Amino acid sequence: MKNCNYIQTVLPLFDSDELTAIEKRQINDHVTACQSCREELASIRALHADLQRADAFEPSEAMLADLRHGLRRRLRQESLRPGWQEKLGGLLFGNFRPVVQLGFTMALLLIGLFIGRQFFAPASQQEKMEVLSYLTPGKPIAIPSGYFAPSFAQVQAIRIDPNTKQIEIQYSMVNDVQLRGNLDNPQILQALSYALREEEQPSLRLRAIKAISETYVSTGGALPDNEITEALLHAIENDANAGVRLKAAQVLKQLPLSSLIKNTLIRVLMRDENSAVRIEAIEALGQGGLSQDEQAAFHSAASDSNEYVRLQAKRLFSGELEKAVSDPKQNKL
Amino acid sequence: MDERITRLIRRAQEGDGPAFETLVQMHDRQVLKLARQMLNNLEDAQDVYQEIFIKVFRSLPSFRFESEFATWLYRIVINQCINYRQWRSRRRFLSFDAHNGEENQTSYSPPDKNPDPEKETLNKELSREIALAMESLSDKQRAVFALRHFHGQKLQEIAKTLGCAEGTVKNYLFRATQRMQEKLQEYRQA
Repeated sequence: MKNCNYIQTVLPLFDSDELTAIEKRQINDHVTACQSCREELASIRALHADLQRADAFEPSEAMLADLRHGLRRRLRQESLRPGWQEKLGGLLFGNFRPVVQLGFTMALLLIGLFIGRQFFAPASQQEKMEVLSYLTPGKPIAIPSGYFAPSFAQVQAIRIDPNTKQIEIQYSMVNDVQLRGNLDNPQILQALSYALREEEQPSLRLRAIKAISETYVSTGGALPDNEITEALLHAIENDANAGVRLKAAQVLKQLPLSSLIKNTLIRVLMRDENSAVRIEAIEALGQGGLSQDEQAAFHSAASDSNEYVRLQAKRLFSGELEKAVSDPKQNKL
Repeated sequence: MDERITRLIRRAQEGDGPAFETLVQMHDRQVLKLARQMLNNLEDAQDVYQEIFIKVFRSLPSFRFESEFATWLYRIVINQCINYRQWRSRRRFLSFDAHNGEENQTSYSPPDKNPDPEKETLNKELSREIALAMESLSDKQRAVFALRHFHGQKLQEIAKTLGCAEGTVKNYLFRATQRMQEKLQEYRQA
């Protein structure tokens, strides 16, 4: 047996001839058994009776005559006979509408393809190679510690000599340089220093520090160039990325504590907002003797927000550092 | 389709004015009734009458005999009435002109068939209540209800007129019937 929801959706059609005999019998069976649907059917029949009984609107002949007269006048006044637009529209889109539409679409498609091919098609690989083979050397150019591979970038100017009729073209090349070497190679040091100071990506700055840190041993424990030390000090003091500053501090900790490094570490200890960087700084500083200024710095560090920094500062200040350094277990908090 | 109507349409499509007028005369009574049922106002129905037949006149060259002429015509009537209702509601909103939906009394023809004055009054009142109840329906529900109960169209014909599936029409009819029952129940209880 069908449910009430379905029955009630077809009840408005029950008294019409739009239901099959089977549907009518099903509804009848349901209505006989279900009181709510029986009441619903009675209510619908009452509505239908009201609709029959109600005074139906029937326009009078006079009203229709008035309306027809008004319509005739308006049609005449507005000259609504089909104009050239309608005639053209009827011709183009009348009985032949699908054919015209298809033809129009195909024509548009062909025009689009033609324009695309003429003006926007990329040069074929062969054409490209032909042009670039004149402008770009075929092989990379070797340099003592690596090589660079120039490639054509852009034409900047084209001039014509009016007397000789010679053409002068000024164009620029892009050189992708690849270097290979150790920290004793001045070019490598220069590139690393540049990367540490100027490179925008923090990951590349970290890579530069890692390269210094991991190959530092091979230089015999001393950096051959002050430039790289200055770059590390610049990084620990100025880099926006805390990870880079921390890594720089870890490398600096391994270097002999010069006055330049010491002063920078003191400034870092007093100013850096990152406690991990301050921890590295105080540990690095703990490896050297303390001057009066340094004692003032440690005094400031003794009231640091980080508990470890405070503890280390107190130890250093009270001369316990040597003991702490010699005992790794105690040093490792 | 009736052979005579087909001939008239073809002639009207070729610009024959009298043929078009004959088509108008054959259908305008039903058109006016449907417009009045859709708009619940005779004056508005008379206004939209002209717009409907001007639209028919302009669109007739594109009529391709793929449906009954009456179905095509009723579709125009319903679309014009829906547009008119939207325009009317915007105009009333802008002019703050409250509309109580009362039907102009002149819209009812004299009930010649009913000589009993009391019955006549009751039937008029019932007609007004039915018209008011129809105001509470959505445009599509009202169109389905009017075509079904006042123009005797079958579900299939209504579906063609409205350009939707028969099941959708059945659903509109069910919702409209429920709403009308509720509204007229309130009237009966009052």
